[in-house]
Amino acid sequence: MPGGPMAEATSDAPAPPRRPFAMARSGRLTGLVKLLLAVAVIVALWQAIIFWWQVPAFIAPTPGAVAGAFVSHFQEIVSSIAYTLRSVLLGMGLALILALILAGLFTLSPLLSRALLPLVIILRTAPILAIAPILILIFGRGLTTSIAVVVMVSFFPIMVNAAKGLGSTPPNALELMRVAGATWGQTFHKVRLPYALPYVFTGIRLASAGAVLSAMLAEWLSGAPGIGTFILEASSYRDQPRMWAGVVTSVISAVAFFALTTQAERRLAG
Amino acid sequence: MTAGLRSALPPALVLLGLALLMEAAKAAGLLPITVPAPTQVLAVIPAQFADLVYHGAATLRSALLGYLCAGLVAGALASVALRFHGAERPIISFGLLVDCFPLIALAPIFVIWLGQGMLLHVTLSAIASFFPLLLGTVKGFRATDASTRQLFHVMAATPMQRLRLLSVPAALPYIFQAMKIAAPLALLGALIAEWIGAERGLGAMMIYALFSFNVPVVWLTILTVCGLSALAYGLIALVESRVITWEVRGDAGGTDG
Repeated sequence: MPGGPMAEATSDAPAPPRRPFAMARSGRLTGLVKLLLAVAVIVALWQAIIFWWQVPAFIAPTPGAVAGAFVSHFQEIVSSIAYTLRSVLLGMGLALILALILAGLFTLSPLLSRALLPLVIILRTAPILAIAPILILIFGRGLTTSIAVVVMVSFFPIMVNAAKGLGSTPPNALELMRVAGATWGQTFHKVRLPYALPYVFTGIRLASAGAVLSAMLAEWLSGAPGIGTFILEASSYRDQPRMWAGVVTSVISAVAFFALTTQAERRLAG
Repeated sequence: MTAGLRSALPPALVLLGLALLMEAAKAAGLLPITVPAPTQVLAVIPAQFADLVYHGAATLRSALLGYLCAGLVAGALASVALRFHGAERPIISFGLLVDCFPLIALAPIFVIWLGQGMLLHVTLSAIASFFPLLLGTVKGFRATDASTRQLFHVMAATPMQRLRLLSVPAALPYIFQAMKIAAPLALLGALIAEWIGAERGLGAMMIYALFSFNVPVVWLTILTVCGLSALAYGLIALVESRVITWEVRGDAGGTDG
């Protein structure tokens, strides 16, 4: 669901203790092994359930059938997911730039912040994805719509966090810059932005949870050739293995994208 | 109350200003045909009112049921996490995984399993609102501090007393916070399910208006959904302010992470 305030947990969970490099590497390795094991168990369970209860193929295809569909539609799946991920990345990039600009303006003018920040917070709690049909009306059926939907959904979490981060600069540091006669731009660049960075990354992570979903939803409604449309098409042909191949691909991409931003947050702002 | 009014004034003025600006821009012919003037949207309300109520009731019912189911499952899982300490991390990870699943990708599979009826709408709405509720309850149950727990232990409190006097009051601020966040998501889940295909529901009405290029009605349904979710948020906030009469410490009061 659209980003949302939901992933907050990890932000206030205590950070894992810093380990020596070698330990960290072996930790990641066991993590990978665990992941592979989990996938193997899921696939085995899936196969076992179908075999045991004789689930008919129209309810759930076997892992083998899905893998077969994945191979035979490989080219189409790759180009669809690439299309979707492109709109996700472009949308999130644009949302980040817009959010930083607006949050920066808020630090300039308290009045602006008092007038607009409550609106931004209200909009953040609103089901923002619901306005996708309006964006389709305005932007037509193409990459622009997908990007616009991703921007709308990711903008608010990033913006709210960025505003919070830019507002949380220690007054001492600001005083120092003032005494040293720094311009607003210098203060922003050298003090406010670095202090805000962890918050901005939290915003990015929160937004990334829903970004793939929103891009797929936009495709679903607009018919742009991404993975959302791929799944919808397969489903309307009642081609179960093909549909599941698309679903698995999109789920893995979404989870991987989220994991990636979480990692980036830990590396760059942790 | 006056302080609340004063802080609500600037954003309200901005909204009003935006509406007036849109009206003027529309009158000047600056807006595309896909963006109606606010008065155009208002003008279709009388004709659409019966439809809005009919479809809105269905959406609200699915969202409410989904929300309740999500709350029950979240509460049960949080109790497990409270009882068995090692279970907390896997449960949270599971919730996080569910949260970053693209709902729309799972939808066609659920259509096959559950059909296109109300059950589908309730399920998707439950999945959409599940994670914040889970997180809130887990955090809430954990929110008692060690010294207070020891005090209850020393005073030989019964488990029931502990629950009533310690755990529930400590957990409530977190749970209300989660409920406020999850309510709009439950509506969104129901809406997405209705977009996929439904005979009744605001989502169905929206899609129908979109495909027949009835621009004011598209805007009207979307505004209705936003209004409903704001209403749900406000209602929960109102109950919260009535129930929680004590001072809340810690981070449960914060709106955003």
